[in-house]
Amino acid sequence: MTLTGKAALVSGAAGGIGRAIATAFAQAGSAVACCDIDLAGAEETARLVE
Amino acid sequence: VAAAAKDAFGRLDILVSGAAPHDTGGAVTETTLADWERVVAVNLTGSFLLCRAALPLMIAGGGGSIILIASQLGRVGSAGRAAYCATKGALIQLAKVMAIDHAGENIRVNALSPGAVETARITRRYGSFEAARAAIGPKHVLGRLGQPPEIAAAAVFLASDASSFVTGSDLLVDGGYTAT
Repeated sequence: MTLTGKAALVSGAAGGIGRAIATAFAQAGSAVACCDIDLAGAEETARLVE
Repeated sequence: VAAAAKDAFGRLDILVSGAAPHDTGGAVTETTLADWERVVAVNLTGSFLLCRAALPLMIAGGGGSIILIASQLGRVGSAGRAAYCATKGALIQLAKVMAIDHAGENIRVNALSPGAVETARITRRYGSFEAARAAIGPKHVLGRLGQPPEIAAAAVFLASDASSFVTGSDLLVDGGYTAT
């Protein structure tokens, strides 16, 4: 399963399931925008994604 | 949020609505209006607003896949979880209606319903993973809680072309919680 060339937006991306989804999408080849009211958590996910 | 995605990517192919508040739970008689409205606002209204903002971008791009994170508790009831169960059930229905309304625009919409997963939400509710495993592990046929990557794998499936004939569904990834 590949997401190469796709653009994704994940809300609730600061932790738990949202963070796991964001990283899995990135590993599958997608660009990912990480959204959360916990901005620090979302930025941490974004670092993991990169 | 959708405008930020457009600025960053120029397009949007995949949307996951996964935000969830801490909710103290309670029967209807124990739930204040403020608590009820907070759970509805994040679980249900937040998903609606996110989809409403993202859909025009997806439509302009020729299609996409939307995944609403629901719950096994959107399928079955659970003691003292009135607001949570009600909103998660509503998300499953919201996914179905959006699947119907936007099929012609090549947009697939599905719910993804995890069982209990070992996240910060669980430690906040049960105190520790150990306590959570003891309390609700046995409610899952597999005898344990899920791990976040096990839910993410299902999300990758729903986001990818591997699920090209899947829309309006609710994919249970619940360790068999609802099988009994």
